[in-house]
Amino acid sequence: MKFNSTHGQGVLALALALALAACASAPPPKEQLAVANAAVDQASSNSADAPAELASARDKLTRANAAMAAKDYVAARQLAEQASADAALAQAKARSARSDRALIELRESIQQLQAQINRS
Amino acid sequence: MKPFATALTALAAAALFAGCASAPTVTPQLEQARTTVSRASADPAVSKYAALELKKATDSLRRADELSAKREAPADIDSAAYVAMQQARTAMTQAKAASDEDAIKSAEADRERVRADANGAAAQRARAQAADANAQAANANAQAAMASADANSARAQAAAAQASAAQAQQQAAALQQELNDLQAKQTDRGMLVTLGDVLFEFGRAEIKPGAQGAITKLATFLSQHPERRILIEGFTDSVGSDEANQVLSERRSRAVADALQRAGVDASRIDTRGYGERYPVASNSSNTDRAMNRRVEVYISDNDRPVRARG
Repeated sequence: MKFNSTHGQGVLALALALALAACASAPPPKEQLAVANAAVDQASSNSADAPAELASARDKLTRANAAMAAKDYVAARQLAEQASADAALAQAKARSARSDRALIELRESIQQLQAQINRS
Repeated sequence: MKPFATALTALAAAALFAGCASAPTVTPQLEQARTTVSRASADPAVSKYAALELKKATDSLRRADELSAKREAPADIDSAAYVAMQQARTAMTQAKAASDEDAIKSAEADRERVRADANGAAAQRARAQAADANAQAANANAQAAMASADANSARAQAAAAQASAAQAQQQAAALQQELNDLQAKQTDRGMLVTLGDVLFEFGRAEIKPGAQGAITKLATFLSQHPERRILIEGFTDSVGSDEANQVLSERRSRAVADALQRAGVDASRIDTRGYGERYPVASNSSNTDRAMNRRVEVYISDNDRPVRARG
């Protein structure tokens, strides 16, 4: 600690100011919750192929709503953001699973067609 | 103003202190997020297909790093880091899906090509079959044409045969006419043609030039009937000695044989006899009757046997 003790008061004042600022700068994360709601809704409709991510997204959205109700806005915002990220991953995974299956089926049908041609 | 200025100085100093001297708070979640985000950044497919999601991840990671640098509560850092990590994973998953979708498009194009090849092969087979059928049809046509040509040829042969039959009939009729001209008569020894004494000078055996027509007709008839043979018999009237008449009759029959040979009749087909004044056909009591006795008779065989001799 090279810190000069004459500044002790100032540091205290700063910490206080930051704490106050934190309180004051944590408005209800309505927008994040709306975004999370929409993302989870969409994932619910098209991401059955990514059940783990979907479940996590739903769980976090539920907890974000609970935090919101408890006026714990910091937690509500963090959970809402995580729920959105989980829902996006769920959708991406479901899309990837679909394209993966389609590609496999397509390659199989090409092989069958080729075999059919070779037979005739 | 002074206490505020002091506080400001203190804040600046604190910030400086925090930046330089204090170690940032690095949680395992933050480490994991950094690893995941840098893996996503290094993936060319991600920058190609999921640039937007990657930017979200790097922004979120920067926020987590800032919180870490400010030594915020680990829960806050972790939340931001978690979001960054999930976004990086989303970016990589999107990139994988998008490149799969590209592969699907090209595989669909492949399948169309294969299908087109298959259709082409089927069309090729159909064309080959059509060509086969055409070839068979052409072959059948050719055979029909050949059959038709055969039929034509047969008709032509039949026509030719008819023509030659007609010609043969014509020739037969012509010969009959010629024999009629020669005043041939059917006898039990064959056909008889009598050449009167008008052929010869009195007492001589040379045939008169005017008799050549009768010789030619006879030779022509014989050449048309090469199997037939002839017997030439010479006769005289009763004027003169028997010996002289015998010799004269032989010479006259011989003279007719020679004339026929000159006209192309083979000597082997010809026999000659002289009978002198024997076998008269009239009384010898008048010039007219004697002229009838001075004659040469030519017998033509009905078949390929020699003509039977008299008596």
